[in-house]
Amino acid sequence: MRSSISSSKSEIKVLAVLLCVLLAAEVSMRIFGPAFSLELRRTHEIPVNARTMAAAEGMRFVVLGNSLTNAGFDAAAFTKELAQSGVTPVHIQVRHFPGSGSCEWFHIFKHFFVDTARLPDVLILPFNITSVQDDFPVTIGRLVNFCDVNDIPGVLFNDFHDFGDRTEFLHAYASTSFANRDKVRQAVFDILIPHYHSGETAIHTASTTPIPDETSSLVAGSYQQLERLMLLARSHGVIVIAVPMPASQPYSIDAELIGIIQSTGSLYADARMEAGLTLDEFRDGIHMNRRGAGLFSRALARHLQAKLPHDVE
Amino acid sequence: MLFNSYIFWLFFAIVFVLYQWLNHGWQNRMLLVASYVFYGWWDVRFLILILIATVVNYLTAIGIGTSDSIRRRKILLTIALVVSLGMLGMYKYYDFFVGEFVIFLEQYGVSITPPLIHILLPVGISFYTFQTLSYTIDVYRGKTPYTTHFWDFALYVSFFPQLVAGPIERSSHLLPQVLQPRTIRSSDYSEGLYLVMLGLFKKMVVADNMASVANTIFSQDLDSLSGFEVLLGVYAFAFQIYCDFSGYSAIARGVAKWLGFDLMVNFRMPYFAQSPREFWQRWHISLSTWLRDYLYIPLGGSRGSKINTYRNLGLTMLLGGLWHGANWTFIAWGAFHGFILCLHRFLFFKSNSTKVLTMHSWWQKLLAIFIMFHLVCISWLFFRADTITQAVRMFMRLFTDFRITDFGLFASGMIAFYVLPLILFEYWIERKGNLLALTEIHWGFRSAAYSYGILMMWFFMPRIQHAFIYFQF
Repeated sequence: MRSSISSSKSEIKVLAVLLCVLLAAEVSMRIFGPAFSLELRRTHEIPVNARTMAAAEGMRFVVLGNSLTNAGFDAAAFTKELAQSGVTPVHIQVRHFPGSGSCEWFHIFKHFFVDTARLPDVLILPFNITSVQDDFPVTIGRLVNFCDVNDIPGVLFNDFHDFGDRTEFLHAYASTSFANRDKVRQAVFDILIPHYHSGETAIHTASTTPIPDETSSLVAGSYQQLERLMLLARSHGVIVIAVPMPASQPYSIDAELIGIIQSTGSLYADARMEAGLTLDEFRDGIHMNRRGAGLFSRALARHLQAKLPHDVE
Repeated sequence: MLFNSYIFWLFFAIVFVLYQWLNHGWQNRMLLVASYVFYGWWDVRFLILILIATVVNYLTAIGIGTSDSIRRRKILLTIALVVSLGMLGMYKYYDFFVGEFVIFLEQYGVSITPPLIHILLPVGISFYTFQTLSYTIDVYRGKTPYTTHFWDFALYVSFFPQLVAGPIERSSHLLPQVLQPRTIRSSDYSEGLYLVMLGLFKKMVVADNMASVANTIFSQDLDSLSGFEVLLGVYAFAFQIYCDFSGYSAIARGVAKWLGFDLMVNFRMPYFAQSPREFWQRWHISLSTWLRDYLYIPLGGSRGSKINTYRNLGLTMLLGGLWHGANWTFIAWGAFHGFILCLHRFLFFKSNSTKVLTMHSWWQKLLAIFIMFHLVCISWLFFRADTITQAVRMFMRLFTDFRITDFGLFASGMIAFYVLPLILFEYWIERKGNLLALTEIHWGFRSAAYSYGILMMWFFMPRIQHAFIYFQF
């Protein structure tokens, strides 16, 4: 009896230590997280930049995207090209999170721009076909950074349809260290694992489906998340421009998506052909290099000249 | 409902709380309902199969146990075998063998199009079929008494912690635990906690991270792979499958302990084995002992001539390979293990029971472990590859192009990061000679080990979680 009581006591001590360790990890992440995570710093910058932009004069652009935007959208070239056509001054905020899609873009736009009434004049959404489909995977740990407590019911009912995802969202919302575990992993591996970034890219490429090309049969997806984002922006008078991003293999846009863009009163700007890109302008199958980004961004600006109002109040 | 999912732990919390309030009879009924909910979660239709297996084996065992007629007992055993193995064969092997037969006939200019069933393989069918059959065969052999308690027998067949991926329990071990009232000692809670933590660590940290490395290498174009990458791909898979399967078994044992059940040990640090024979005494013990007791020994075991022993070993391992699935790669895997078992017996055994050479010095043991691990890795190459051609080409790559690539360095870093601490831990367990040694050390050291485990699970669990490999078997 005595040994079983002492066994229970020591197990309680073990559990108490585990709890303390998790608590220490949580406190450390809340204090030091932004210091070692570029993504967290970028997230924290959004409201600051939104405030600055809201106070500025001229046409205000927000660009939301993923790694395609990071690689393929050159804000300086875009601004310069617009300025040459008389759209000036231009304030532009580009926010890109790797592997993000329309669900996360909706919450970024709602949380940082709509809820704070710091709306841009134009919202540009560079996309490839998979990132705007509803079944595009959401990075749950990152999504919680774009939500507050009022958003939780909406997220649980509208964004997730699986018990596991819903629970993981609540878990991540409650714990910053759990939500941002990817950043810890990345920080550790940057130091310890040789060629970590190229290795992770190879794993990511091997585990994801390639973009469908022109010759493949395109399966029409559902785009309710994108539609929700476009309707939200349009209801606040924001011009929404959907921009298909070039890829080394041409791909077609399905009619369902075009229909949604038109029905929400958004604009569709396909500058892929005008940019005149060749395979030399891609660093891999889907991401442009610096030269490609410049060519494409200038072509996009030229494409938009006629569609954008030149005077903004 | 996976052990590493939120829904399972919610499910288990409900079961655990209810379990504490109920008496033995109601505990069993509740566990049976819970087990059917657990299994039906995949597909409710699968429950029909488990019910058929339960009813047929329950009735035939009673018939066998109450009959004095040898002929009648044999007929009843045959019925149980035909129904159980028939269902397994139908779902698991029918399409494969019919497809192979069609290809065979086509070589002789005969073209036929027999109907294929294209049915999703019911989860865990191989596990519960073997477990159920062991009961009926043991009753036939007079090794275990038959039971008339249908619902308790149904729980023995479907007990949820070990239903879909084992350990494949024997009726002599598990059935009495179902039938008798159970007591839960406080050490069961601490041992259960240890086993669950260890299992989750192995699955979520080691297996799932190794899966990403192995999947990437095995999905590459063969011409672009270097031998170095192939080697690391096989190492990654070796630890993926070990941690995936032994992790599942550990969680199953831990969860069962919290309910007062003691499930058999299924793994004992298999990669420290020094011979093929020892490997099978450490790897998937519940299957290897099942095959030994119900196939190898009835075939004659090592009682006859050397040639007969080799034949029995080869056949047993071939069928062990086929048990994993209807694919030539699994058959090749089983055949390879049969071959190395025979080779080991040929080289190291003077007669069927006398061993000629034993490893004494530390370097001999280390060398034996090194060689055995790499032999097992060769078998994993066949197991993991999609085709035998792929396996052979990857194997040849090891000797033709051994470039050290960036991805190879990355993979070796990942393997070292995740696997080395586990190897050190298992070495310590091996030295202690006690699988539960961690539960018996000072709570401070145990806290440190658990803290490492939980922090690794918290921060290094990959975004993509993989299903348990052995669910497909």
